[in-house]
Amino acid sequence: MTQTRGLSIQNDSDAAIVARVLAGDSGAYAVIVARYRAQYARYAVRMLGSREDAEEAMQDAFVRAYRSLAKCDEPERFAPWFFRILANRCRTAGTRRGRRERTFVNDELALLSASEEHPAERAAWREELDRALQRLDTDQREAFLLKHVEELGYDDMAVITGVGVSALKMRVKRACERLRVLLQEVQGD
Amino acid sequence: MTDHRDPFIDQIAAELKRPVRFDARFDERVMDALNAPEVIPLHPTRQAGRRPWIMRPWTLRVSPIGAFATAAALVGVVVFSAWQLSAVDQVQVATQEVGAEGLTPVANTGDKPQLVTHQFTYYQKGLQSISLVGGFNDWDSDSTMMTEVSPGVWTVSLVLRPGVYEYQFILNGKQRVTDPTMPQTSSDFGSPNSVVTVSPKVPQ
Repeated sequence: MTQTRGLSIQNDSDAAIVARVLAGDSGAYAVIVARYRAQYARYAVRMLGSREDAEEAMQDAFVRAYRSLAKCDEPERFAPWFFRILANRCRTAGTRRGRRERTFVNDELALLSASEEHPAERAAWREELDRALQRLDTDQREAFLLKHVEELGYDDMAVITGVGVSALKMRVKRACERLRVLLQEVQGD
Repeated sequence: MTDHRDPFIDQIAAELKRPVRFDARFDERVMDALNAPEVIPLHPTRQAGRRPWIMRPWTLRVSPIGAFATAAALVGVVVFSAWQLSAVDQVQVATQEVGAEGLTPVANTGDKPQLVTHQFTYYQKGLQSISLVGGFNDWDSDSTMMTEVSPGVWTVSLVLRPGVYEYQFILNGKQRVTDPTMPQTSSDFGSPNSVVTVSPKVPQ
């Protein structure tokens, strides 16, 4: 792997880094990895329900993006291009795994950052929320996360998912209704 | 389906927006994965990342029982074919060429010659022409032109006797290149040639 001039390219644009990688400086890709790992890890974890699955999907997405980098027609818009690859990997991983052996994100990080006033209640709420999220259909979970957590517009969501805006709105609506039912059932227990 | 704010959903979203943390070695693992053998290294001259699926190596995973079943099936085919051959006095073999203008048809020698159709494929967009040259056409750059069957996918099929052939592609009548999907050997002229082994087909 070619040595990259460390910090000197940390602030370079995506397009500049992509050009470096395509020119043979594969080490420059580490900057891309660090930049978008931080940005999209949350989506992958929420989508797949476990950190291990999310790391696997993210790694797969980064490798696929690297292999297809020459096909990235607008390297200055690397982020949405990569996000589309990641969303596909998450969808595939979620479908492959199905509803079996889902683990829920109740990791140490969540517990550490729980409310100091009612940490136990807070942790329980988070666990129920993660559980409810994983009970959504994959399409609904994806649409909900893109809309309400990643705060994307429907046009951007349509580009990433390849699904029409109307269908996406319907999925978000159904996801909200379903979450409401699932979580109110919990609160009513 | 309006975009109005819903406090309940906002509360859920806020909870789900909390950051997550990956393993500390995640970035390192990704960079290692880029150098794994199955990853085609990016290179400015080879443009390996543009390879279509048809030219990528396959990874075939076979369970032990699957391998056993396949082996048994192959043995069955061979035994059945041998039994059929013994009952046939003469095998008629077609000797007409397929899709290769300018090639001399291969003569039927009468001693059960076997001719095999072999398809050559090359992938690159933006070319005007590709010709195939090799030992099978005396390295004649005008005799075997390839056809662009879909954008960037060039093919030609030749009927060949079983054997080992060296060949090259000539892009736009000028640039000689090897087949990136096949093994290479050095030629008498110093430049590498691709090598293909045409195997006899199993008689039906």
